[in-house]
Amino acid sequence: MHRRVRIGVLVLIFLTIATGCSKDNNILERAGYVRTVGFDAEKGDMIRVTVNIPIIIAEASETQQQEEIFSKIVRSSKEARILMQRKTSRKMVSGQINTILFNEELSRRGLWSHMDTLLRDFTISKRTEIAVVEGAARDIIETHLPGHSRTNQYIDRLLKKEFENQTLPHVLLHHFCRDYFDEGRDPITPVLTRSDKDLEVNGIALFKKDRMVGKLSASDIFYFSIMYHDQNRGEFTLGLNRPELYSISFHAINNSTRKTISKTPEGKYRVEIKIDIHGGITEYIGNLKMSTSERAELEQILSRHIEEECNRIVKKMQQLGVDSIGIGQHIRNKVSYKEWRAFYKDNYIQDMDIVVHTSFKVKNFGNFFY
Amino acid sequence: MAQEKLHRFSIAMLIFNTQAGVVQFTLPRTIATYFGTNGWIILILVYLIVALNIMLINAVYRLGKGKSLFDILQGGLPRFMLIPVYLAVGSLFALIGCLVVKQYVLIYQMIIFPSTSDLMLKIFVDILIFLFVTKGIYNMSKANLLMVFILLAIVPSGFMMLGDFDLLRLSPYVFKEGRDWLKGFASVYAAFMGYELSILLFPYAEKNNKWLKYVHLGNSISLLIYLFVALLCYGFFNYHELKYLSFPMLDMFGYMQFPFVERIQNFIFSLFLFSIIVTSGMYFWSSQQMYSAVLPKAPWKLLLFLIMTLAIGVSYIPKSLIIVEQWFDVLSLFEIGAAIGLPLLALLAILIQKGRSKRHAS
Repeated sequence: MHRRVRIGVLVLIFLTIATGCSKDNNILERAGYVRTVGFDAEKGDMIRVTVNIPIIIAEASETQQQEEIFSKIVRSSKEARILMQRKTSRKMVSGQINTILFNEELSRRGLWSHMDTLLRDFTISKRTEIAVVEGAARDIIETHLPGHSRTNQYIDRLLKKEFENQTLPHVLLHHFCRDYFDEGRDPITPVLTRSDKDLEVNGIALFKKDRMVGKLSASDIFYFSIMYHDQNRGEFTLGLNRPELYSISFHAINNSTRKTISKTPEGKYRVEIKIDIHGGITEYIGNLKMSTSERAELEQILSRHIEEECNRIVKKMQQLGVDSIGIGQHIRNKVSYKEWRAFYKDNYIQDMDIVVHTSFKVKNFGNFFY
Repeated sequence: MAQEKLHRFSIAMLIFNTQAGVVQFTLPRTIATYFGTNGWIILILVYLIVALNIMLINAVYRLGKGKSLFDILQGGLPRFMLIPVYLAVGSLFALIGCLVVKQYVLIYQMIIFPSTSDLMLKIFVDILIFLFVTKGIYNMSKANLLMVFILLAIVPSGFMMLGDFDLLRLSPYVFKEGRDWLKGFASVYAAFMGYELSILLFPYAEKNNKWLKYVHLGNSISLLIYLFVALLCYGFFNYHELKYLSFPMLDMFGYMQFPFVERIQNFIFSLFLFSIIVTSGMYFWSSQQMYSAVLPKAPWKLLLFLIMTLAIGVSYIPKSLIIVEQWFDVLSLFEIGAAIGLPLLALLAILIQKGRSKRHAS
């Protein structure tokens, strides 16, 4: 018995040591963790891939933070990786990619062929953020913006914060692919742009399958978001040139959205989107008294205004033929398989009557009782 | 020392853990490919058929009055007829046992150790399985309880996905856009494979009929887990996307995020080693039982060693995952045959024996 235990221990020790013989080791100091990847359209079907690898160099008691940035014109992203590998002293790994940027031109050409590697590569997380940039992704990745943390971190944190505050629909690689495959919904991504020394979330890119076909401006994000999903946070501000409402800002926005489907006598689908919104006022410039029944008047003005804006965005989506808010999925759940097959075709959203109704309720008006 | 009997709960867990394994990682894709929209419903149908098959095995136990499968068969059929059956079924079990490991190792290699030899990884796992099986069925069932506990502890993490789950994506259609239902049926049926080994447990179980229900319990736990995984995948991704995901469950775990750790799919996949050891271990054990029936004098551990060594040799042939999956498709057809054929053969043996004893009596 004793001998067997001894042999067992020896085997265990051997196995433990033998695991070190594996060739698959990633030593932190020798690996270059790609954080941001940018794809830009180039002539022909070529693309420019730009990557950013932050590096920490520790010398004696001093640590330096630096970045390695590579850019190559190639056919595919993995080709770029192999070419860049020749320039870096580190082993490039993709496990830490947290942002992928596509420039607008490439997005309009179609992204799917560049998505292939993102889905195939096991090390790339489905939680990776993706965004469309106006201008060149390379410019954004290569420039260090003074006053901000390193660019890769800046983009990552900017998007994460926006998602968290629900001022931007939460769209990651997973959501993009999911909506790309599903019927009755088209994918979207945030749009980033450089404004002087800063980066800015500048709207939402609307995709038809993998091709970007249009863009909503930054001021439309709120109206789009409340149609896109229910949110329980978020803020928005609006100004009208009216004495009752010169400017108003809300926080703690809470909305619930219902989409009801019916059929018109002509056989068209009629979609009613009913949105109930609650929010707390953080600022109000206008001549109505919040503490009196005049509040109802303000709510009425807001409801009508939001309704108009939402209807405008729906019209725009219909013109572009994209169903970014997933109306198709609701229709699919209402009709038989045969009807759905007959209905589901390109630009199906154009054959529908879509009406948005909103009702806005002021939850509170803050510390100032007026 | 009298051989301790297997507790009926241990049997349930043993059956469950033999059934469940790497198949969960690919099952949602299989279902989506073959059965299309809301394909997860097929699991319930297959479960019911499997339950019938288990009842058939139970009938053998009841009619055979708790004798072992080999005693029953040899009581009614001549030995020269049985030996080819033993050899064929024994080899089939061994092949399945080894391909399970091969598949696991190939996935493991792909996601964690891309340039380490899969043969080496496989031998490491095989050593564990050999050690596991040589402890004997009673100790295997005890160890299995702990492994099942660890595996079931993963289940609650599935609830973290509910935030991204939407019933809307399930769609109201059932089995639309599927293809090759028969092939799909065989694949889903294969996911439940493992219950048929209960026919070899007769002499090790308690001497009453209670434990038979626990085989159904094990099978039901498998169903629940499969349903949970499949349903979650259908609502987390969508049916169209599922067809394109090699390992939907890994993708889903990859999406999970804790404040202190991200991308835990590698860790969770490593935990499934426990499931693989049991699945493969049970098949090798069964294989050894078959071979021991052919060569009753040979020491069983030596037999096991030889079987496993041979199996490693065979497993060296398929080099890629897709080929292993193809092998599995073929093997599972034979396995379905064995799962139904063995109890039928045993029933035949019982009938022959009864007929014979009646003639003797008259």
